[in-house]
Amino acid sequence: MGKKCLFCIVLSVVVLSVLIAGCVQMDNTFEDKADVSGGETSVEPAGPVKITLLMPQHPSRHVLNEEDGFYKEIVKRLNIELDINMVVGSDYQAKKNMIIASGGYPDIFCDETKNLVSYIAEGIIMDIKPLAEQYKGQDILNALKDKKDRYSVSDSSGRLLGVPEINDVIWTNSLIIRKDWLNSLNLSVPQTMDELYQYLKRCKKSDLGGDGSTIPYATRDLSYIGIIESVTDNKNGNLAAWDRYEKQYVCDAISDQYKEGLKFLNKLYSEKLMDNEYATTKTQQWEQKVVSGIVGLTYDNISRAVVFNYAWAQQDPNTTYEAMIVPPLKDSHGNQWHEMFSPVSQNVYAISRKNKEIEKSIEFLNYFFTDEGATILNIGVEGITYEIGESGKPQMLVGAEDAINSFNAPDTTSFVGYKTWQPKEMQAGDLYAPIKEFVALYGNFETVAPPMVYTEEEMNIIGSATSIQKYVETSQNEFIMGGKSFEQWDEYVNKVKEMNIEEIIKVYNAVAKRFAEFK
Amino acid sequence: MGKITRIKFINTVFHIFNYCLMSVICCTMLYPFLYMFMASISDPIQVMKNKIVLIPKGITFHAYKMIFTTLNIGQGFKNSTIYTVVGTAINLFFTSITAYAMARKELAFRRFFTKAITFTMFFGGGLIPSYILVKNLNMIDSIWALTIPGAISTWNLLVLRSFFSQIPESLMESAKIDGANEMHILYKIIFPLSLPALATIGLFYAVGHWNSFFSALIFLNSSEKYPLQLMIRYIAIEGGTSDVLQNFNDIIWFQNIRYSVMIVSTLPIIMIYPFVQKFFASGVMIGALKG
Repeated sequence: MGKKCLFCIVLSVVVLSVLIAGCVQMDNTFEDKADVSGGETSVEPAGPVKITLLMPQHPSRHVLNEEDGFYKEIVKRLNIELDINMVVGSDYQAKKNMIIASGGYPDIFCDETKNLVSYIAEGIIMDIKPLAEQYKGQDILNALKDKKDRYSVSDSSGRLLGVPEINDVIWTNSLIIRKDWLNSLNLSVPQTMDELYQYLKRCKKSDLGGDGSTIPYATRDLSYIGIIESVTDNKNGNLAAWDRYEKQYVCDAISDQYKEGLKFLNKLYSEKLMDNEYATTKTQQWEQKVVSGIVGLTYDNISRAVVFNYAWAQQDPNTTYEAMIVPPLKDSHGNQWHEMFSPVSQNVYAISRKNKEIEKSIEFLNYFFTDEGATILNIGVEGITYEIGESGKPQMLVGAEDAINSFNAPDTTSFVGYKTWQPKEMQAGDLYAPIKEFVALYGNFETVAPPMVYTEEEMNIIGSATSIQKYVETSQNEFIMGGKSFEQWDEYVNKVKEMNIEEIIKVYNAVAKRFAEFK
Repeated sequence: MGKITRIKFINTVFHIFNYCLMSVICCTMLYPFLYMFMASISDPIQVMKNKIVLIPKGITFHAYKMIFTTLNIGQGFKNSTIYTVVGTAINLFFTSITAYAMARKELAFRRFFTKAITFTMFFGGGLIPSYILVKNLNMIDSIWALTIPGAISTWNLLVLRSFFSQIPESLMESAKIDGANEMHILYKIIFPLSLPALATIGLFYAVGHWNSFFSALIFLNSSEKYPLQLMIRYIAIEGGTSDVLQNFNDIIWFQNIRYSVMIVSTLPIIMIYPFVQKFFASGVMIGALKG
């Protein structure tokens, strides 16, 4: 028995030693593989160069794979084989942090510029500007010629953090109204808050949605506040809002204008003119409510008006449902305007310092800013997905929808290069014409808030804004739902001031000043 | 006599109250499922207008058709089934052989091993070291990443060890006299006597694998390998029905899709439970008599 026991112990020790030795050897192997190149480019092998890519993905949308047209074209045209790891958007940050923390940096990965500021300081990613100058990255630099575009993807020292996507269509949020309901109520498009209120009241009274299900005003998340944009001069009660007239950041969450706006929302809520589930409604629940035809007014990205009309027409070609974008109501200075979204995405693609194929990586990222690359990404390849029509514009080939998805598969959330939105337009004509018209009329580019590029120290100060934001949002809902009376407004304002909001506003204005001085 | 009648009366009232209370609790538990099912097969407009209470309106199975065709939830079902079967088999094998060794008094350093194993129940390396380990073992994006790291649950191991310890020593001694070695004893004596315990532990593991999504989220890269729960997470919580929604006119089915996905995912568990609940009931007491 004693001998057996001794034998077992000796055997266990031997087995464990072998296992540990094996693991140590394995670790070394991986270390060697992931050795820092220090920016040196390896000799190009004869076969395709392998690049690892970590990127977000829209849930359930087609996932890029080796059978896709995009993948094959990249191998064929750039001699690059992509090793792609796509993670669903909401889980992306958690997984990316895990991969970065474990030291296994992918060659190229997507992230928000605010996170990349720390990464470049810690040496996790490289400044793209000198790399783009050294290798074939001129199209990236040309695309970011505009000071504002370039600054929005740089850190405070001007280092280029990553490569963005640039949209062809410029968006903004706006009120979207049911034009057919306006007609049946014999009303014209509202131009004042009072006219808006009267419209909502009539919608409710006439129960245009049917079965008592009418929701006069429905939105999602925090966009419900958008209905008061004209009252607040488009500052919408933001903690730090850009004041186009004062040319500086102010805290609108404690302004008198915002208080008036909240009173209006409180009136809508108490008279049941506003969706009573507004605070918990998520995007697709809201979308479904609108599409089912029971909502009279909403506030969201103007592209939604196009989507809703398209959906209704597809459901029933003889539909009477019609959504229209409401021209902005006049602000307190009598101006009609909307702040436009930046065409440059804030999710950019960075190159990690462990990247051994820098030249090829730059070539890859640059490709989608060339005509050839952007075309492949957006509409595929001529003869496979589209052909040039008599008008000189590309026209989708019959049954090519899936093929197009296979080419723009990387672009499920945001990718790099020029985004032209062609596939849908090829399907249904100039879908976005009303949007372009709206932007031309009311889009304000001169007064758009400067891009926020913080130093690490500033980011620490900004970090405390989360708790203030939480308090402001909770109070906002309480004021709307009647949980707090407006007699408690001063108490609320004092509390926000006590939470050191002025320090945060100072940071915002320092960033704005730095942008003004940026060359 | 009057006192007995009074006690009978109180008992009757107590039973009536109990039945009423239990009925209310049952209805509270059942109604969400019933509502989900009724809404999933109703006309989406009626669902949106909150017109569904108990009876479906405008019956349609379009949402079910969508989840099995466009959303390809069948793939998730297949993956989850494989992970559950393989994972549970691995769990049972490793847990039982370790528990058997730990249950044997003649095991050298038994106390040390028990303490070392118990230690891992309270202190773990954390997520990042686990990720590095799995990555360095080349198990990322494979079924092994979901089944090997959690092969032994310390809690289940201790429970099973306690159960094995209750089996009389004399049985094993008799077997040894008859010439049986340790493997014979384990497979011919211990396992047949421990079937209820193994079934219960197996069910705990199986349910754990079926419901698990976090390991898949961290360790799997390819969406075609996602288990059902991860797919449900993206469809029901994140609203990931965009493949369906690429046809804009399908936006309207979102709520029905959510409900039908939930029904479909809970159905296997609901179907299996009646057959295995007796093991669960007996499993509650497993290992409770002797430490």
